Amino acid sequence: MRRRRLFAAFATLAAGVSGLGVATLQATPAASVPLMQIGDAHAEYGPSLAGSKPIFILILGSDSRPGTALEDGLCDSIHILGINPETKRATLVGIPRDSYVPIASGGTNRINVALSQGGPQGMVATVENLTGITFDYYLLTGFTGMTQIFDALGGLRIDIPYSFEGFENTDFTEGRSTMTGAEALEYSRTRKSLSHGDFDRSMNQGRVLLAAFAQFRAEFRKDPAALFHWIAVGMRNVSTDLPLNELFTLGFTSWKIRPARLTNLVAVGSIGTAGGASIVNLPSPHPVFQDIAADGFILPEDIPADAAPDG
Amino acid sequence: MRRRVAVAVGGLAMVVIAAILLSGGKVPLTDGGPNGQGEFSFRLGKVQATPITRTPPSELHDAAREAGADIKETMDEFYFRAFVDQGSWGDYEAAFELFDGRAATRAGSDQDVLTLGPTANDDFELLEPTSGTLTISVLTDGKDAPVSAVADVQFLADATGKDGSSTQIVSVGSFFLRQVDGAWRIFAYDVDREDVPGEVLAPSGSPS
Repeated sequence: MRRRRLFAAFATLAAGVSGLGVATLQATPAASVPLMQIGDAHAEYGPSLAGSKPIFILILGSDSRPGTALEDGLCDSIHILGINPETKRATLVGIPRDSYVPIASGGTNRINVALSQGGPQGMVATVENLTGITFDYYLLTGFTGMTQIFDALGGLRIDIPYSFEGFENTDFTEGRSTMTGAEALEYSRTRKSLSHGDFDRSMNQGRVLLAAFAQFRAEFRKDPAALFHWIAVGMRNVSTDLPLNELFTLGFTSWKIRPARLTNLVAVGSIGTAGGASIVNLPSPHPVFQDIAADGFILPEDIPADAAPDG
Repeated sequence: MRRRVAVAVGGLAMVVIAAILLSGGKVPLTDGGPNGQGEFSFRLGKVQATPITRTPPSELHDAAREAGADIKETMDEFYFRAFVDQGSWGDYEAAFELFDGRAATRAGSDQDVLTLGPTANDDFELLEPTSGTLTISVLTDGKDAPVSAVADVQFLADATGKDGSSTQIVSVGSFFLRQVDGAWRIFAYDVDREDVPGEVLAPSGSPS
C-alpha cells in the first residue's frame, strides 16, 4: 500500500514536471483553474474461506534427525489450528507430547509415537479420536525444515514474553526479537529451563506459529506477491495434504483474521508415570477440545486458567 | 524494505519522467485502430519463477517468460477494455470476462477502481496511456509447471474531461492469475486507483 502511495506521488511529480516541460517549450501562458479532486480508492478480492463451518488443520513437528524421514521421528510438537471464517477468529491448541492416549494403530502410549507407528495419517487419526475433531488437512515439518523456513523468510520476528536460556545456551531475552531459523528451532525445543516443562514448551511453539502468522499477514498485505514466497518456502519444507488452491484460499483468508483474534493455549493434564516413563493424563472429555471442536475457536475469556501455563 | 521500494519507485518515476519529456509528453502505448486506440500494451519488466520444488529458479526462467508473455496478453486486454477503449467505457462486461469464478462477480462491484468507471462516457472525452509496466512472479507446481502468477501493474494515463479538465489516472495493484482452459484468468486482486487532478490550460492568447 505504501509503495502505491509513493508511486502515485512520483507519478504526480512526473506529470507536473512533464507539464512544466511542455508548457515551457510551447511558451503557452497557462491559467490555473482548480479542478475537482476525484480522489483515490482501493479494491481487493481473494477467494477466502466463507460460512460458519470451521476448518481444522493439524500442525505437526517431528524430531527426526537430518537424513531420516519425518515420519520416522517422534512427534514432539502437536498443534490443532481451528479457523472460523464467519467470526474471523482462530485458535491454536497445543497437545503435550507425553499425553498418554489410545494410539490409532493400536495400544495406549505417549501420543508422540503415533507418527512413527502410523505416519501422518495415523497421527491425524489418533488426535481425531482424542479430540472428536475431524481434520481437513495436516502439515508436518522437522528440525531442518523449520530452520530452513525461517532462514528463507529472513528470520522470525517474535515477542518473547519472558527470558530464559535455551538448551543450546542461547539467551532468549524478554521483548521483541528477530530469530534465525536455528534460534527459532531452539526456542521451540527448549523444555528443561521452563517452569512448566513441556506445557510451556508447547506454548512457545504456539507463539512461534502465531508470530509467523502475523509476519506473513503483514508481508502479504504490504505486497501480495509475498504469498508466493511463503507458499514456496512452506511447500519446500513441509509435508502436507493441503492442495495449492487451498493454500491460496487460506492465504487470502488471513487478510481477514487479525493476529489479535488468534488465541494460543495448551491442553494441560496431570503428570503421571506409565512403565517408568513420565506421562500426561488428559481429562476425558477435555473441555478445551470440546470447546474448539464446536466452532473452531476459543475466546480469550474462555481459556481455562491452567491452559496458558506460563501466564 | 520500504527504502528499497521507495528507491525502486523513484527510479521508475524518473524513467517515466524521462520518457515523457523525451517524447514531448506522449508515450505511444496504443497502436492500430481507427482512433489510434486499437490495442494497449504494457512494458513487460521482470518475470521470475517461484518454484515450490527445490529446482533453482534460474532453470525455470524460460517457462516463466513464456507464461509471462501469455499473462501480459491478458493484462493488456484487461487494461485496454477497462481504461483505453472508448467503446468499452461504461460497459465492462468484456473486461470482466478475463476474471475467473467469483472474482468476476466481485469485479463488477469494484468497477469504480478496476476500470475508468461506469460514468466514464459522461466524465471523459479522451484517455491516453502514458506509462504501463508489468512485473510478474510465476508460481510453479510440484512438476515445475506454471500454475499461478502475480502481475504487479503500474498504469498511468492522461484523461481529458468533458469540461476540458485534465486528470492523471493512476492504477497500481496486484492481480493474481491462474490458467483456466488454457488461458490466464484473474482470480484475485488488490488494486489502488488514484485520480490526480491537473490544470486547465487556457486557450492560447486568451486574456485571463
